[in-house]
Amino acid sequence: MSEQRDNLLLLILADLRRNIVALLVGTAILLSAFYNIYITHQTRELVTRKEQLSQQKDNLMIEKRNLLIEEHTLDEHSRIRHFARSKLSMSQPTKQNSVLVELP
Amino acid sequence: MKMKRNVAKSRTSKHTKKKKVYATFSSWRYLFVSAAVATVALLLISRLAYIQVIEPEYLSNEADKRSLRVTQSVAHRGNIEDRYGEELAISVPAYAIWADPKTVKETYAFTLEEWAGSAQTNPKTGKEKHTKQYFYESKKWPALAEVLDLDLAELAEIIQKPNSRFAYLKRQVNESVVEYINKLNLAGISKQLESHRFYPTGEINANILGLTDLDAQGIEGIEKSYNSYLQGQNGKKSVRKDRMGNVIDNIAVLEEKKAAGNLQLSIDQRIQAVAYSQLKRAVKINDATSGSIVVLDVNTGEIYAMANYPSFNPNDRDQYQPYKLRNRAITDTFEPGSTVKPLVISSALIYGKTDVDEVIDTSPGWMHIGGRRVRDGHNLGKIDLAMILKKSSNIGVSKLALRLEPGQLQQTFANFGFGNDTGIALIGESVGRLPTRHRWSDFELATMSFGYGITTTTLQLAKAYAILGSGGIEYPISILKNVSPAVGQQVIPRNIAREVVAMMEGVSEKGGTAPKAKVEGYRVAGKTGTSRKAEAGGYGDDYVSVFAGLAPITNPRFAIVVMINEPQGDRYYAGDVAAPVFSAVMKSALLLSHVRPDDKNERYTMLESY
Repeated sequence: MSEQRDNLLLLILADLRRNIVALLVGTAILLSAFYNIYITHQTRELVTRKEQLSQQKDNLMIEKRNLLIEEHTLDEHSRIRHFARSKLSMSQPTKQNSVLVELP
Repeated sequence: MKMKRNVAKSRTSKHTKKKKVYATFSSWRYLFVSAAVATVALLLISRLAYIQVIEPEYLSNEADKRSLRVTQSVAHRGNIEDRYGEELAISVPAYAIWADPKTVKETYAFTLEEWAGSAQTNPKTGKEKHTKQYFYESKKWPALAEVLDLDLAELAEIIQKPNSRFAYLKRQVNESVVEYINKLNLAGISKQLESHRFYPTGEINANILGLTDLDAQGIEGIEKSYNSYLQGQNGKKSVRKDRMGNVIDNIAVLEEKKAAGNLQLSIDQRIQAVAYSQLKRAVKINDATSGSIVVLDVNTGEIYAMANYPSFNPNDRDQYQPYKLRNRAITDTFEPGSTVKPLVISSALIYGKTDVDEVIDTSPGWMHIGGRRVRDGHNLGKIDLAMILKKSSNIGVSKLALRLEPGQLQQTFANFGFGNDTGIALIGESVGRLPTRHRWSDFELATMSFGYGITTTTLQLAKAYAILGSGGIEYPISILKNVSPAVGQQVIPRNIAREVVAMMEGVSEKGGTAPKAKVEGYRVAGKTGTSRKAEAGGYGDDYVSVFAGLAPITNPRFAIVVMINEPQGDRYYAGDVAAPVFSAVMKSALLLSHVRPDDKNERYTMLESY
């Protein structure tokens, strides 16, 4: 063991300083690699989200169709006519009780 | 990384060597470590090279096996809408429930012996355990049978099918039932997405819309004629999924999804509903076998309503019977009878064989033509053309027809669209019969002038009247809403068409053949037709009652033809049978379309402009 022992830390730092370019490039590579991972993860999350939303859209469309069926079953013309006649005692206006008004 | 480390190491070693930092430095140790590290590095690199370069497929295949999936997106069949966007046919997803009999049989025993045979004794505990469950003991199967509306015996029979891997239990099952079945969690029972077609308007439109089969293919009517347009195409995508089943990457589109087109018809559902209910009522009251009605817009050729009776509810497949399904308005032909008389008068006017003011002597109410007798109901005396139509004089039109050259009458009929397709482009359309011969006997010409010897469909007759109503312009008949204004073709001189329409007004007036065709507030032109039905060996006792008409006369908007087939009872004349239907439907059509009343004594208020 020699007395004058080099400080290892200083040595390493000195070495690193000499290879500052390689160090910077290495760090950049590392950072970009992590960033890559991060972006990929985000992309996947977005794709999943999009897929979920389009699934949701499909479900809503299906619900809309079902509601349409319900609506049209209920608002079927002859049904309305039937209710108008029997429940509300309505009738189609005749010539006697109608006046033709023409807007200029 | 490795490279960098090596370089760094060699540099450091050089550096240390030069400076001789460590007294204990021994070269063989250094070499040994270097060699060891290098060997390990080499091994790692070669393994890496092996995986990545020499055989890269293996691992990527394994990865794909675990994450690559093909997903299908279902394109539902397009909706059919009326002209105002009311849906007449809608597709909703439904499920087919199917069983894999083999899987079921592996888990369930159908006989007690089989169940007993499946018993296995656990060698450690000595307890007996059955590998199969007894089918009839399970409470789940009766629950499944009940929710699928099947007998348990039926269900058992389907599942016990030998050598089968697939059997439908029930198709077109809705979402809530499927959820229930999922909860039952039975082995070998699966679901498959399909589509259920629903018709909110039921029997009203059944004949024109047609039907789809269980595989969502149109098999009748518009569903069939426009099948490829309505169908769309399911899309297939290959995607990457993660452990949770979430899609994380879209890889490729294997099959482009084509969204189905929605079809917009020219039908006005409000008028259609009135037309159907009135027709149904008339057919029932008169104890007739069938009936058809067509409402045309004379200025565009669009069909506003087309209904037939008998019809059926397309949502209930048990009612399915081919004869009920037929769109009689375009498939069934009949002899139009007196309804062609206005066309004969048009023909005589076109070829200059008469003029509008001519008075024809029809007395004594009968005449012999070629040894056969043509007669009117009673002696009408000297009458003008309008009166011929009003009283439906056979003698009057026969005399006009006999003035025409053979072929001229046929030409006029052909101009009115008889014997030709109407352009509606639906399957099953019949073109009727318009015989073209060179030689005609006088009697044949005479009978043709009152509508015997030629056949038309209800739609063709409606088209002929629409041509009269539009001032002689022929528009192609369309069941689809026109996107661009219809382009017509003048086939009959305008003034003649106008004159003939005016002549037909008398029919619905007092003393005419169809006072019941009157529509309050509007002037109506029309013509009745009651023809005997031809059967083998001559004409029988059954009738076809037809009423064809137009309104309002001053500026015709709608042409309506009502055909009632084989009305029974005393009142079989078109004026009693078909005319009331015409009147009711015409009234609704005109009011719903806001057509201005043109009756002279209409109460009328003109607002001053402000």
